[in-house]
Amino acid sequence: MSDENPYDHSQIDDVIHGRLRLGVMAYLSSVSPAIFGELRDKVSATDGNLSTHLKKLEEAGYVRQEKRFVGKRPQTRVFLTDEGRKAWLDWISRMRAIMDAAE
Amino acid sequence: MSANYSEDLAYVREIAESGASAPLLGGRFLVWWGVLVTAAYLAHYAILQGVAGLGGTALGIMWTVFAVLGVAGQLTLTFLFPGAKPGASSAGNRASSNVWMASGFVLFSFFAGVVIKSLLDGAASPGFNWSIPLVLGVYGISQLVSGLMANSRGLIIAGWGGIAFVGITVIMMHTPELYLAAAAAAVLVVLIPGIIMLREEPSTTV
Repeated sequence: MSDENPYDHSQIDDVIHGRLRLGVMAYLSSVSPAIFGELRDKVSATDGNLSTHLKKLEEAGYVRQEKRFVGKRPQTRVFLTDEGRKAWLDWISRMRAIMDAAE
Repeated sequence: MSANYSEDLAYVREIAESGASAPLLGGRFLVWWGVLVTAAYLAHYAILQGVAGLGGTALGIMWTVFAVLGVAGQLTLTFLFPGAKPGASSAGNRASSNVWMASGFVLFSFFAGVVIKSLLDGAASPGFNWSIPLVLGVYGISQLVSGLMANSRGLIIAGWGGIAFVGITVIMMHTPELYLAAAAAAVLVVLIPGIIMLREEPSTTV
């Protein structure tokens, strides 16, 4: 990574790099699967907003959603995929490189 | 730009840490077994002391009732456990449920062996007394692992307490007071941490 330009914006994963999606990825990195409502409360989003962002993350292969019933209530569980974990770790490395270069 | 990234990193760190330190959700199981085990050890001590003129047969009946109640309560609590508590999949909760599951199988295997040995010999196996340090050691390991994974100081202390009681109860082996010490250990290592965990458990489901 030393011969790369740390400020190169094209190296930053746009799928992750939005505040709400960052929150989702951060929480899923420590709690996976998370229940949809748990995730919504944690990142302070509305149902619709969270659904939209989860769809983008799902399309990128970073999360997987699974619907099931708990008793008679439907429940959606959100999993961080292996690809998502790798993308998350890459994003952290990228941020660290930018921070290091800026110091 | 750097300030924005710093804010992003601070935000994701806060979110990630909140997940990593999610409260443990097994408090109800600890309370159930803590109450039951404490009561059983006290009853065992009382019977050994000849309270109410009960003999050795009462010990067998009492422990059989304990086993039936314990398993029935465990199954009921498992069945009624809310399926939507926040943090249920945190590393701490997954580690805790797995280490307690392994602990349960260790104890089941041990007690099955002791009961079969007693039936074959026609007399109570000394393994019943030796079960106490084993039980407390297993409790100690489970609480320590749970506490370390969930950053819970109370559980870490409880875990070390259980491990310390292993040596204490070995010293007291084959004395009636062994069961008093075991009851005290069950309160300190299982019941009180269980009550604290229940109080810290999120009341909401999502």
